[in-house]
Amino acid sequence: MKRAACIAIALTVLAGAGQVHAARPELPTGPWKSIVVAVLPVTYFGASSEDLFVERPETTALRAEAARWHRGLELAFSGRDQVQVLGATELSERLTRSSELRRTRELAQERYALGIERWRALAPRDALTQLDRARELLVESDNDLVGPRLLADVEMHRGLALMDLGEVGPARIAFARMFVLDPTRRFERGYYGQKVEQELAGAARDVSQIPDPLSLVWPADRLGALARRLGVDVFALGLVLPRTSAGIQGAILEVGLFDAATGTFTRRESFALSDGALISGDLDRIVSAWHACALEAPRDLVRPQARPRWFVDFGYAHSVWLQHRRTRNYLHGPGTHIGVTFVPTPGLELWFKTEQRVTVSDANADLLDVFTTTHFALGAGLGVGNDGFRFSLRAGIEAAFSLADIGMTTDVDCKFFGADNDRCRGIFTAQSPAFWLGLDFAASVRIAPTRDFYLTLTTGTTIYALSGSLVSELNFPLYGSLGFGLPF
Amino acid sequence: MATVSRYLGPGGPRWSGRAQSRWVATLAWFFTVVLGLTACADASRRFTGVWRAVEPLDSTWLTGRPELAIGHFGRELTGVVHFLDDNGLPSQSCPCAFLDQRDLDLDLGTFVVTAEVCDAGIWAFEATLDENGADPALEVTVYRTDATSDRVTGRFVLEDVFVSDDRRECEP
Repeated sequence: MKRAACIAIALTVLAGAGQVHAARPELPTGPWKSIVVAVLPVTYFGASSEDLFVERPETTALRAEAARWHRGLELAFSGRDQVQVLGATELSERLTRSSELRRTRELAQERYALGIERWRALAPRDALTQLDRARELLVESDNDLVGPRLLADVEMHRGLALMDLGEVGPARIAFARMFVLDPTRRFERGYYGQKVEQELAGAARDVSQIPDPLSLVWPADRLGALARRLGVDVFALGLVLPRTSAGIQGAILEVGLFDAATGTFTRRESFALSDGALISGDLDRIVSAWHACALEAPRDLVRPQARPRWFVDFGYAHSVWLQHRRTRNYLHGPGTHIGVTFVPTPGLELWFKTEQRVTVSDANADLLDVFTTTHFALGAGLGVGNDGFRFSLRAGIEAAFSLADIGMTTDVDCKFFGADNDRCRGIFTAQSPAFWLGLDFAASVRIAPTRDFYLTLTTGTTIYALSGSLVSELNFPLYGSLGFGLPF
Repeated sequence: MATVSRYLGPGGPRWSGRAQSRWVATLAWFFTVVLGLTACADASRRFTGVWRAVEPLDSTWLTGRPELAIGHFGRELTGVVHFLDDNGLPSQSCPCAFLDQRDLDLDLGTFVVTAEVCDAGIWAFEATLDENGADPALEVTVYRTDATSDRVTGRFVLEDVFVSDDRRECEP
């Protein structure tokens, strides 16, 4: 009884283990792909006419909070599985990797310097032309999002040039753009004159009343373009705002997560800056929720398996000489085939093959004796398809040679009595070695039921152009091959 | 777990047993066809060989046990007729003559060849293949084409599929 119970328990355990083993999900293969999160600098968005010339202590404190929560935002993402965090410095490096963007920025700086020079030379119209172009170039190189200080300088001087031209409205807009890009800019009282200071103060007031500064500072379409350029999946953004928001008293930290896949802000949250510990906890909760959702999002987390590039196959080959001037029937040539194909890119392939074919006598024995040909060919091809099925067209050059004499005749007496007999009227003989050189054209199909092997079917023809006396006698072999191969 | 596993890299499709059987059957059919095609090629050589009369022919103008050395190549054939006496020795008066094809029907298994027999005129040999017996045989009717003569019929059996060099020679 005890023994039966032990056996039953053992069998149950084994069956359970087998089920677990069978139910174990297939582990992914290949390297894992990280989600790239770029944390843009958290800035204090507190342009105010009261801080235009001298910064108030509370403004200084809020700017310090901005720097603190920039670090907090980075820490909230760091250390999470499959998340790679990029800071502003790394983003700038990625931008400067592009020689085109570097050149654009250099041109912008030249235009800016030229604009200032013209403005100082009391030529505001010329200065404005140069500064407008500098602005275009900086926006083109995404400097409004990453490192906006230079663009803020350009807007400042645009405003000054517009003021000189008497265009007060556009000047105020330029000053407002400057405060959006650099909210902490300060000026020396009396340096620019009362009119300019008046417009600066007005622009600062206008900016402070913007209802949704996060969307203005970082427009979704610009963030999407920047994400594609830098290879970023998510932007983490933050602003410290001095005013009271709905339900929150005092200064707030507004955080946004921009997802490049959807092109929208997937998360917007506001926190009261008064309780730092609460912000840390809430931030951690929000980022954790995002992290769990990001892992479940339809995103390839596993890099696809490396595409096999080398294909080696061997099999049966058969050819028929389409041109056979000395024989009445087609001459067939069964043989073997070995092929090597290299696919550097999905559409291109480079191939090499070698074949050994035996051309056998026809039914009338017009080919007096079999001869063996050895073929070497190489070339390139274009293909379409996927790992399971691929069709390609190929072209290349082929060299073939035979080490046996090739004798052909339609005279039955030559075949029976021999070439030396008086009844034999004549035999065409190509002395060995016989050599052909020409162009090879083929179509190929590769079918791979699994990733471990494939079947290949190739059909084509060779146009021999150089083969001495044989070009007009034997030419245009139409061949087909059926092979079995392994990918590497 | 199920959600995560949905996005994990899938393995390649497995090859089912049914697919395996289908491939094996296809390969077997392919090789059978190849072998069959190879076998069909023998029909173009079916008359090749040395055919000798089973019984001595007995007529006023043809006696002995003639032998036909035939070379058959598809739609054509040629050869030599050797005139042997009852003991199998070459005839003294006319040991042999070359054969020229007049007709060949592979479907019916018949052929007609003629030979200029020394000074005795042109003789025709009409042969019909008989593969019903243990060994292949030819039912041969011999007659003169240039004069009126009776027809001599005999049965020739295949002595050797290979025609040696001496059977291909003829110096009348």
